[in-house]
Amino acid sequence: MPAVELRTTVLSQETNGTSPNPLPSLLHTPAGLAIMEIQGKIHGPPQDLATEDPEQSPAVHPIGRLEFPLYNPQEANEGKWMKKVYLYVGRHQRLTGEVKKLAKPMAVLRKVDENDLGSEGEEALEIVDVVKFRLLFSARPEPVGE
Amino acid sequence: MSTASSSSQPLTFPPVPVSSTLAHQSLRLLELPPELLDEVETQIKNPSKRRKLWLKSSVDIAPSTLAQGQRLLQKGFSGGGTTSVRDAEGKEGFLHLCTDDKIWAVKQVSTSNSVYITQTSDSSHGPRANDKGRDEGGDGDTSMAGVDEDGDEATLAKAAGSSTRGGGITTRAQVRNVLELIKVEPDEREIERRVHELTPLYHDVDDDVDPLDRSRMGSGTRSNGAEGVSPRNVLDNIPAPTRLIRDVMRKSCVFQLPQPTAPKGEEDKKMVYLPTPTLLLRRWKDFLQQCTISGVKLEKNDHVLRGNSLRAVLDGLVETEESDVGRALALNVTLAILRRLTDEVADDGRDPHTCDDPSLLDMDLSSPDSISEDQLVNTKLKFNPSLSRDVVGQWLLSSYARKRSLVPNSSADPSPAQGGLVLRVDEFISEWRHLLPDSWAMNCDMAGPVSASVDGVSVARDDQGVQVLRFASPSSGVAGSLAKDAQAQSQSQKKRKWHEKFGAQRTAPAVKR
Repeated sequence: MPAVELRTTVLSQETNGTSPNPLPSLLHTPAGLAIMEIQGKIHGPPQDLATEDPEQSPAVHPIGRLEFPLYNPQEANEGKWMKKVYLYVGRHQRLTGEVKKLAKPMAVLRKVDENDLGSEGEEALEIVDVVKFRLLFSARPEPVGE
Repeated sequence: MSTASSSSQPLTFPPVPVSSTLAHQSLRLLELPPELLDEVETQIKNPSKRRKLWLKSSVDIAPSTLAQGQRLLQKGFSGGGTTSVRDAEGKEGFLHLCTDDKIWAVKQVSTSNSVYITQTSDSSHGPRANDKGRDEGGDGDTSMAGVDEDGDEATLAKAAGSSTRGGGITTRAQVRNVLELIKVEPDEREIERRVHELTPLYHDVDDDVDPLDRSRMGSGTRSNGAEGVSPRNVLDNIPAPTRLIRDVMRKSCVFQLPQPTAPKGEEDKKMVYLPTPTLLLRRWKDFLQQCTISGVKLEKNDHVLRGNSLRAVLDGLVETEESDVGRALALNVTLAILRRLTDEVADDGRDPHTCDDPSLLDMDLSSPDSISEDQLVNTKLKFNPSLSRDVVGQWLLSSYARKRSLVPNSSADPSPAQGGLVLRVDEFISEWRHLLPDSWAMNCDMAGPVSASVDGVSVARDDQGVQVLRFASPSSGVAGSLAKDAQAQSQSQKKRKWHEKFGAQRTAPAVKR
């Protein structure tokens, strides 16, 4: 079988210039991707919403917000702030997590668009981004009242 | 409706809105060991012309399993995060990630947690989306759902208001399997076996006409027809580091020829072939003879062959051939021999083994048109006399072993009556010396070729006390069942055994070096 080439893209092209990365600088990547890991599931709106509203596809649904309560600009690249991250889901739930460095960085792969393939028509994958940290929420959700 | 914030402290970092984008992209996560991370980041900063990272399947050549590795990749990406991909272990072949120097086996590991890949986004919530959300309230208590929705909106509006930056993050994919990499140490013998399986053996008419092989004079075959194999096929089907595959091909003297059936208008496609030891010896003799004719002395200049001399010798070799096929064969087999016996001397600090620029000895440059004049003139090839001596000796020994294996009804212990099948050591060494420049031939010793041989060649003394070479017959030990074998089966078996013998012998020089 033919081998599949694994390409590296010019990662900066993926970044949307009009949308600066809102995460702490430690979590910034060239293409603006991040890994968020939750010990559980996010129950959101039904999947078929997308088909009911074709004009607004892909549908974007709010989940909540991230907060970094201990963030200290003086310790942007490490420090205690990494130990506490809040993920608010909806109005009444909060997950407490942390920013963790990945033991092995992760490459985000996707299939190369057919238009970008050469005349040979070979299959190819490309590395969209390299992610070295993740947001890990492994504790039970807490109730909050606002 | 007022919602007082429960936090009485001002936030030092603005909240980041989080949303979910449906219609997920097809993204996969691949863990990067340190060496691979270095290679990827180097590739990102300084993109190389040559493609260096490959995913290959290690399935066997059986047709029923050819597409499994490909299907694994297809399944992994076709349905995005919602498609469950079957584990690669078990019946399916392993997927391998190969670089120039390293190889990893790819293993899928399920994630029990929910893993999302998020991306920065402009999180805008239009009134229509809000209306849709409100409509969903029909599933429960209408007024309470409405209140919840308003609350969420207010919270998000508050977050957006307090943020000095625009946008937030949105999930683009949910990953259920992470690809982990397991380091694999390449097995050069296995790579050699695969190269020899994939690369067809080149038979030309002269090769099959042999005094000891008269019974097969009319059955010679050419294998450069529709069964051609391209260099890309060999590289694609062997899960091993690229440089190691190329090195095995170099040591096996694999050479390329243009495909004769290609239409004239099309660009010539190159096919790779394995030479027989007889072909190698004949080309080597022609090369030495042409060096003599062109006044080139390999023993001088510290065994360095300069570009001008090489050009003269190659031109002379090509001129003596009458057909296009003969000319291509003369040029390409000779270049394969030079790749095997020489190293390229670096100029201006350029290291031929690590730079990406093509070298004269690169297999892709083995047609006359693709060798530029400047490149040829600037080339310096340095012969390794001891390596060359041993390699030529191995070719000669393999040639005799092949003749023995092709003679029907051979016996394990030839009697003196069959004088033609007994080979005296002194005669072998004499013939071997004639194949080498004088100064290289001084240390001809049977230990080299015999130790490199794994097909049962040994030195023994005959009845008169003279040293002779004794070849173990491929059929020894099964003489009783030999008569039952069909002719085709017997021929196929002998050819296969020879193939293995020939391949195995070429591993030893690397070990010695």
